[in-house]
Amino acid sequence: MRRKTKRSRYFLAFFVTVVIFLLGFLLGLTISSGKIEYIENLYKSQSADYESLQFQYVFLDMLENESNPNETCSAISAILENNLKLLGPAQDKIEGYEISGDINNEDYRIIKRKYMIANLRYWLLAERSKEVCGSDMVSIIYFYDQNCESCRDQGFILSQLKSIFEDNLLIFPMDASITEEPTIDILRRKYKIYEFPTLVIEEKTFKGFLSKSDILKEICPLYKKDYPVCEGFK
Amino acid sequence: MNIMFWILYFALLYITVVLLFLLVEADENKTRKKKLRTLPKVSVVVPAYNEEKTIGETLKSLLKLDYPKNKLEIIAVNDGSTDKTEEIIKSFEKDGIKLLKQKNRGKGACLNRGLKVAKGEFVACLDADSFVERDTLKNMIPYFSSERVGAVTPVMKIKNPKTLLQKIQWFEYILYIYLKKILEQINSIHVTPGPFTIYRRSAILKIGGFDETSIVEDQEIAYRLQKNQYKIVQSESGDVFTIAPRNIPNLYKQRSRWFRGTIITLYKYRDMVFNRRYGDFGMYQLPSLIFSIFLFVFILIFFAYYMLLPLAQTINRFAMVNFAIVIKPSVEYIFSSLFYIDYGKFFIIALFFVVSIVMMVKAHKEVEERIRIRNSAALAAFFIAYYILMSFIWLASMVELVIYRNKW
Repeated sequence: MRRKTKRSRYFLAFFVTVVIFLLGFLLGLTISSGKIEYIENLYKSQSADYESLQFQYVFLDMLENESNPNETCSAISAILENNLKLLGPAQDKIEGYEISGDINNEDYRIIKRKYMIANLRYWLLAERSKEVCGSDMVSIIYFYDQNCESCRDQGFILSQLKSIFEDNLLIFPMDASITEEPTIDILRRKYKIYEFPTLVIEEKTFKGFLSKSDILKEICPLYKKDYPVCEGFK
Repeated sequence: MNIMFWILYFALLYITVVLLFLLVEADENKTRKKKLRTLPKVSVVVPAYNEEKTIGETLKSLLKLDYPKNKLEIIAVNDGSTDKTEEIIKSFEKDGIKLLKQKNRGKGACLNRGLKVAKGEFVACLDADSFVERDTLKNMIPYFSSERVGAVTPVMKIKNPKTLLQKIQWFEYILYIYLKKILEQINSIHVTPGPFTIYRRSAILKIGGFDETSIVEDQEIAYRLQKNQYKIVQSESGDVFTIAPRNIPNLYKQRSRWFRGTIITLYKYRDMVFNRRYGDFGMYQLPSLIFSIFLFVFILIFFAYYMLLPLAQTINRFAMVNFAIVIKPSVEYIFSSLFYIDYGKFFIIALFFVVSIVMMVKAHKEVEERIRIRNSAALAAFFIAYYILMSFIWLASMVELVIYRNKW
């Protein structure tokens, strides 16, 4: 006895499956191009702000030469505040993209690069603020790599510390996998960075993963103000 | 990992789409029933091994069956029980229940023993932990609509589900009845469960009776019926209630036996897989079954990779800061994390849930039950946690199979 099989059902089902699959695929493509577009728009809206910052630096140079330090300092702190408003949210978005997105995407790399340049400028300004105005701030440059597992843990610890010290702890994440940005290379040579993660805390280089207490041991003595978390670390 | 994921996804999608096609067809076709002028003679075989707690009630439920007494024969087979099972059966002898005795040789042997003695044209098997309703037999017999129908399976439900695990299984069984209803249309039922499947005696004798070496004789006989081109029909009414494992260790014991049995039986009948001679059973059902086994293992990998690993990492990170966590939830952050969800995988999971829920609702309609609000926790657990539990059991069963492979 031969069994009857309705073949048309299977062919039709196959066809429907392919259609659903392709639709899903298209949807995926649309969403990921949407993501890039979103980041691009984010950048476009910020690029005017970045230019404005650039101008603020030029203005600052002029101030330093002719007016009293007080005026300079208030200008610096105003600019720092602008930076903070800008780079904080941008970082959240870029980090989110790193976790889920295609990090080899060309557009993404360009945006990431510009973001890092803005960060570096911010870092220079912060150094200047400490020098000229004696601000009670500590800056950490954080070199990491996309493929390094302990970097994620390091990132988490840094963001936790950032939430504690808020604006008085400045963290500048530098993604070493963006090799097309020469400034990063220059910094890596200056601080002799060969492995990840590496932290540069106020000109001192620390190779490898640092625990929360390791970092507190380094940064707490640098603050004038007393923080509750710093108890025992000063 | 990614390519593997997409291949699995495509296969899963295909199987689901075919199932949905069948689901639509099932709504249109009603299973054929035969109008009976006279009821045929039926023998019920109850194999029992140490079932003193339930066998009394099982036999009572059989005596209450609405079926002519001269056409119903009840045979209880004591499989060398060491408890009071035999005494209890004896107390029913005055009601016409026959008692057969044998040394402990397993359920398959019990059934064969009963089969030899049975005089009915049809033979029903009833596990000694299951119970029939008054009208079960009368509702099921008309489904033997032609000589080719070798077995009719009942609407199997869980008796008095009390624990959460039993309630979860309640939903599982209901879904399973519906799935069998769908698969019946393409004659692809692969198991005739112990609680009150009715067999055509001549068919079982022709194919050599039950396999006494199998640990899942109810699956093995179904494969053999399929192989000999018999039909297995899922009845639409005729409830049978069975006692479900109360806790996870008992559930593990039961399922591990089923799953090992499935693999052994599949291996035994491997020549039927992708064999056109066996129609949809060979070309669709068996390949889907094999695929679903892989899927269960894959669910486990998926679960470990996307849930357990991140969870472990998060806990580890929290430990790094001595659990003094500072959280600053910003609208910006929440918005951007919504934006960065992997919608591809999200879509798959959503699709899976939608199909399951549709099936669940339709299944309840099919068996004339309602989804009760007070059982919604069990329903949620069924969808979320049960598959993962089953995956663990599948994996453990495979490991057991490999470790004790010389035994089979």
